[in-house]
Amino acid sequence: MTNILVVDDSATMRRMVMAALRGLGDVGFHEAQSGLEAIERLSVHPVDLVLLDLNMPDMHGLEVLRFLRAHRAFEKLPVVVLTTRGDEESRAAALGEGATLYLTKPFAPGDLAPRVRELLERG
Amino acid sequence: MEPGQFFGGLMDDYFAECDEHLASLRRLLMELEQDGAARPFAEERVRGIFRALHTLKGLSGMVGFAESEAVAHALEAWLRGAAPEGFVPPGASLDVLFEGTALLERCLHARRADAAPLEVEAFVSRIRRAPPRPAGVAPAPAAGGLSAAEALRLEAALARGDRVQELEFVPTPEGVARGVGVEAVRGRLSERGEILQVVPRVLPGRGVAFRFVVALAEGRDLPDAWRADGLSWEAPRAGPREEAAAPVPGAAASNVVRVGLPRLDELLRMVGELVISRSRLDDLLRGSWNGGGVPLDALEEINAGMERQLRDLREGVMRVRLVAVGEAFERMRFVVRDVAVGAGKEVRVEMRGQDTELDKLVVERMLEPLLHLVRNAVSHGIELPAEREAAGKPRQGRLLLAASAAGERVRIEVADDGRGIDPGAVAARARAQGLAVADAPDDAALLEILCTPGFSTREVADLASGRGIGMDVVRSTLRALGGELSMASEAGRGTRFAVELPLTLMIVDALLVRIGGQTMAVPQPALLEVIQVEADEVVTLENNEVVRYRGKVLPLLRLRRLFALEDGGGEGSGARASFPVLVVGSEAQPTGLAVDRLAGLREIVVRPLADPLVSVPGIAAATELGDGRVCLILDAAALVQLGHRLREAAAVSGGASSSRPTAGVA
Amino acid sequence: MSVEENAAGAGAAAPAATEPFILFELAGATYAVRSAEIQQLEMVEAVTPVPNAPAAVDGVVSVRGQVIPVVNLRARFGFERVAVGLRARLLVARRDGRTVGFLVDSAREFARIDPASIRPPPEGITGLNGRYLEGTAQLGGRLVLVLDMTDLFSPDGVEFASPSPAASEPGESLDP
Repeated sequence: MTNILVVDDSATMRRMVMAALRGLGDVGFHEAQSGLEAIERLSVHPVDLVLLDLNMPDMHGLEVLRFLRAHRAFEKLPVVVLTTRGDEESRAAALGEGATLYLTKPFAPGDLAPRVRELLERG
Repeated sequence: MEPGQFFGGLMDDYFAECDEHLASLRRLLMELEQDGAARPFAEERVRGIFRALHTLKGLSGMVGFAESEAVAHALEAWLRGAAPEGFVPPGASLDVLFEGTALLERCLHARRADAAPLEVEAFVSRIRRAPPRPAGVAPAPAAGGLSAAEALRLEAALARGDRVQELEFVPTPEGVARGVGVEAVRGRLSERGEILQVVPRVLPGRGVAFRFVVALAEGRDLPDAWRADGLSWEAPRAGPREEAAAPVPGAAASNVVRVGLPRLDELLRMVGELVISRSRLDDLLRGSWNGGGVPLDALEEINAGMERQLRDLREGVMRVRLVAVGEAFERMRFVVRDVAVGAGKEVRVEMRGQDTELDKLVVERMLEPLLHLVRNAVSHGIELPAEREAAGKPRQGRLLLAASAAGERVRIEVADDGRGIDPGAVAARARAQGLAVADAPDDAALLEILCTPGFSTREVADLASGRGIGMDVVRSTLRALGGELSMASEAGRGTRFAVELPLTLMIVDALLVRIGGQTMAVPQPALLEVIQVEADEVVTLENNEVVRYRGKVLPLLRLRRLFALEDGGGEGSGARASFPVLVVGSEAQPTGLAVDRLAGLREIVVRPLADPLVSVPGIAAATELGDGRVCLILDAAALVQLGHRLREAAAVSGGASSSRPTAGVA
Repeated sequence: MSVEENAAGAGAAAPAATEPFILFELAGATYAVRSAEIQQLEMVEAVTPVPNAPAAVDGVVSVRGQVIPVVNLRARFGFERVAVGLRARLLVARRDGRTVGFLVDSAREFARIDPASIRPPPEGITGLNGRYLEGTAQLGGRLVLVLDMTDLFSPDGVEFASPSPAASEPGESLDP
């Protein structure tokens, strides 16, 4: 089974992402509503891929990414940044911090799954 | 597939979450406006506003609500231009944000009501600026360092005399599985003090640890029991004082209700009592089967107990629907600000009894009427500052929103200290419109005049208050909810409107039927189906009337006879050629209720019919149908039971055509 | 007769000892009931009948957002019913958290009566069970029956019609 961690402070958004990824097959979802919780979940569950929102209170997504990439346990973990910010600077910053993929919201329901599948197959 | 369709099942979540974010926006904007640019809290608030707009934009985009997405995006862009350093310069006007938030509310309201999406292009183009510079990437604090805001909070805590405590939390799979995760720990700590900082660090292997820095007030200690949950700390040094309150999230105002755990626990306890009663019943029955006879006393006691327990449970569940009026008051405060600014008036809002609880549905339905009263008070009631000063009043007008509960009803007041209502002017205007009016009408009479459809004391439509509902609609909306409107006014001193509402409310879809000249209502959830039956399809079987239905036999209950309404208003007594039958009960054992005619579907407000004098089997409650007449609501389940009992009674008394052996002949 | 004359004629009792009462007419007699018990007086509009309710209960009506029972006081006291006239009024009374409306022929006078001047009800007063009367009082030259509402609220002793067993049987309905 593939384990996917969905990180977003909006519960509705998390549900939407999970709904969009259900077509991937044998997938188990974990959820985190904050950067802190994301880090916690990663430490107690096996996770194969992370979908990460950037704009969260208390710990910005980029801080989370920076934290993860600084540690051996998580430096190769595929992280898909899923955010509403479509500008070049944000994209560059995220990729610079180590994001594997940078996608913007809103996304069409059918678009997300193929790209995630591709990432999982690559890894 | 359209995004709207794909995410269809999540619409309730969408609306509920949007409500929360709108409430945050309102609150943050009010705080920003009142506190001015007290940095760095202003920066935190601006960040909060950005996040709320972000999320609103993202979610709206996902469900395909382009207009809401566009407004949120436009506001975000505007704010980035207005607050390039992350805070709003002192003196800058936030009107655009207020306006935009109100517009977003209306966009959502329209979507909720399935109306056409609002046109927002005008607003969006108006506030568009030169391409904004994107805000800088959020910096990471160095481990152990504090951001500006955190440092300020630490200073404030120390000044209060709180002691500062460091703790470490290491999450474990078992702990997280039973609910003790970093967010839960954060919640616990917030209850006891103020969290100044949280920093994660990695432990050898895959583990992580979270370092919390907390300001604890006097007497607030960390329970040793927490050490078993993965928390560790050193014994605190001495230090006293008061506690910081944890922030309360805004209440959702849609089809979703948040229930506090204590309430749920209470409900579970009541269910537990019922389970016990039932098993006592079970025991008694088993005892009687074993030849012990039926102990009537014990049975009656259990019955009475269960009746009480069911009533308590019902009340308990109803209470889950209660929300505090405070949230509605906050929205009204928001509107006051809008209208006051637009009309050049200064108004201070006072609130009382914000904790008073009211059924969620009642709050939602009466919000518009209350907003109308509030808009009226600000635009017509309260005078311009110069006028007030000339009259010896303070420049700032005062609007009081007060709520109080008395038994099964809640009273809400909207009172202003403005110019009051001039009885003479209103009476003259009324006479000019052809209404018969006493020379010196009292408050009740004045209210009657104001509530006359089409009556208006302003020739020119007032943009702020002319939202298309007049006082007549306010009163009829309130009455439809089982409420009532009253008014007290003194020329020159002010006006007070009082609304009385029932504490709880139930609204159901119902099928209206005609039975013997009377209209009655049957709640739709009780209906399995409605069929049309020809008189000659009815067959008599063992003294009961039945009809073929889906390969089974459907017993018929003629409501006209049951309710002894045979002489009902000349609607054709006696056999009708064909008539509708409401199929109710369980799918396995349905019963048919025969009525005269169907009279339409309607959404009705259920009014309890509690008085023992009118507690008759088969009638559950009552409702009002527009014209002020009371319409009874049928209790399908009770009717089915009644039908069974009557059939048994008829069988026992031995019908002439019965083919079953009976004990004796009547 | 004005209200003031009534009060003056009530006797030597000092005004401070008097209580306010509402007077109403029923089947030719004048009754008095304590104002404190009456929430309001209403004109009678359409009353919705409730099937199989007690004979004296005409039905229900909506007052101030509440649906309350309407007790036909004529029927309750055993007098013959009359058509609801323009002067008919509903006395909306509250007691023990219950609100009930009582239909009377007319009600438009108020009077102050000294409770001490109320005499116990005489024997054999027509058509009335003693338990509904607190007593009688003199208002000017008029004899007024002072009502005790307690038992009027109670459903005890009030017959509920039983639902007709014939509801599920074919043919003519049987008398219950």
